[in-house]
Amino acid sequence: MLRLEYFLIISAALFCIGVFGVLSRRHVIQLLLSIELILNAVIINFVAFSAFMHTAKLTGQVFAIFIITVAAAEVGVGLAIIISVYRNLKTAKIEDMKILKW
Amino acid sequence: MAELIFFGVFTIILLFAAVRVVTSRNIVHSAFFLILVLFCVAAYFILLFAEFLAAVQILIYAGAVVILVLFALMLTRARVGESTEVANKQVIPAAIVSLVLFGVLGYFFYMEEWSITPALTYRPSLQEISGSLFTNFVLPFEVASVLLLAALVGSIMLAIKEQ
Repeated sequence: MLRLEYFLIISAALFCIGVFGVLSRRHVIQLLLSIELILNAVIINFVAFSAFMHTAKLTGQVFAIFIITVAAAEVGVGLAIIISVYRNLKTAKIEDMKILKW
Repeated sequence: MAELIFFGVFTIILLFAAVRVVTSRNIVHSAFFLILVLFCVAAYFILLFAEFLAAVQILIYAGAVVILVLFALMLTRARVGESTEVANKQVIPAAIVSLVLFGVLGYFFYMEEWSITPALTYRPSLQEISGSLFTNFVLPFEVASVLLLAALVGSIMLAIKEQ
């Protein structure tokens, strides 16, 4: 029998792997991939709560759809920024993007 | 019982692929392992009776988002098998932080008494999801479409070459 705690703990593990990736990678696109992991952990939580705490509005599943929409928009804008930065600085490493630092 | 076996298999694949996403030296491999992660999440959705979300997950995430990432990889010329040093200096603090975070989160998730229905019995239909989306949540739905339009215009403006 599946229990809610299984899904919550797996999604916590996925979230922490994503946090590790955001904190430790150097390439910007790998940071974006780690953010995708974090968003997926959140979606698992929403859908698990929607399945186990049944409400008439199905709020969890609807919010999961919204999260997927926002994630698609985020990836589009993020990759456009990465391409623009690469065109100007000729690098995609996160520690080379420091011209706003003083 | 069968659900538990499926859950265990998909959990093993999911955790392995997620760890490979953040540790592999080649970014193209990272993107392909991300596809594996997304498929396992879609399998979770099927186990949770959310078949429509599973289809959306595969179509939008694995179909569109990862392809977009691979396009950006080609445009920024990430050479295959080249990067010898993919991690920055803070690997060990990052590992400690994420392990501590997982410990705290897992402990509280496990100890909390959730007020839930004990078993998965109710299977919501697609009509219910769309009904909820177009009655209770119609304003966020419209805002999401405007957001997508703004993101479309913004990314074209950012990525276009200046004359």
